Amino acid sequence: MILENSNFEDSPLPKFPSRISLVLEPKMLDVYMEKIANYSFVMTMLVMASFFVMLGQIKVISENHSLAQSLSLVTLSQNLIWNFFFFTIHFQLSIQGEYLQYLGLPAFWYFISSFTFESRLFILVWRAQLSQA
Amino acid sequence: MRRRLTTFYMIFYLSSFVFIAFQNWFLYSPEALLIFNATLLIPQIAKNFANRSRRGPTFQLALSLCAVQSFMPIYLCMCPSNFMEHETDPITGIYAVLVMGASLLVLMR
Repeated sequence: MILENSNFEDSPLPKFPSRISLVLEPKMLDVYMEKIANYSFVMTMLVMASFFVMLGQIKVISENHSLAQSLSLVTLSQNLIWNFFFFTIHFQLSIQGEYLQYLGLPAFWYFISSFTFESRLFILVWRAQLSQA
Repeated sequence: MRRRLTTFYMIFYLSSFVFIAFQNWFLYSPEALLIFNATLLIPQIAKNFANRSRRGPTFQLALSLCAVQSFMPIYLCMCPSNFMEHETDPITGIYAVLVMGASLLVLMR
């Protein structure tokens, strides 16, 4: 957007632009949608891969309390908060953005990740550390 | 146990509220990325050091936690054609990856 000032430079009155020009850059919608779809696909694959890793760790931890006691609760809770934050960001974008509906998919997986798997892992580790104390 | 769990949930929701209220800073600021996001494994390293122990999360778990947590900020920092059309900052992204890689190396050594 280009604003051009009025000619009355010496006037004490507030200055208003005399002309406003808008330069519209044409954007390829299919390229934009492709970027969003690619991002959503990569994000979904990443979160699903982390599900399998977390499931394995939950299984090991439920049988091995000493391993649960060695995990840091601060690290797990920090990750839980960040994942909840990313869930809200993706959810907001998928609702507000005109072409961002694909972001609902990573939002859903982040929600499942933070409230199912990570909270389960956190509670298991916490219980093990409470029994240690 | 129940009281502690209630305290934890209060802290969790309060922190989440703060993150969402200042979401632009937490998502786009280089300081937030380096201080709050890239330092995920530092508390685990400190705990291992305090316990004089090498036990901890497996490499796969540590890697997946880092990847899931930092993919979006690093994507926004380093991908010039990102879908949010955010101005890139590759130096911050490289620093974040280096901090995470170094903490993974220290944890798994």
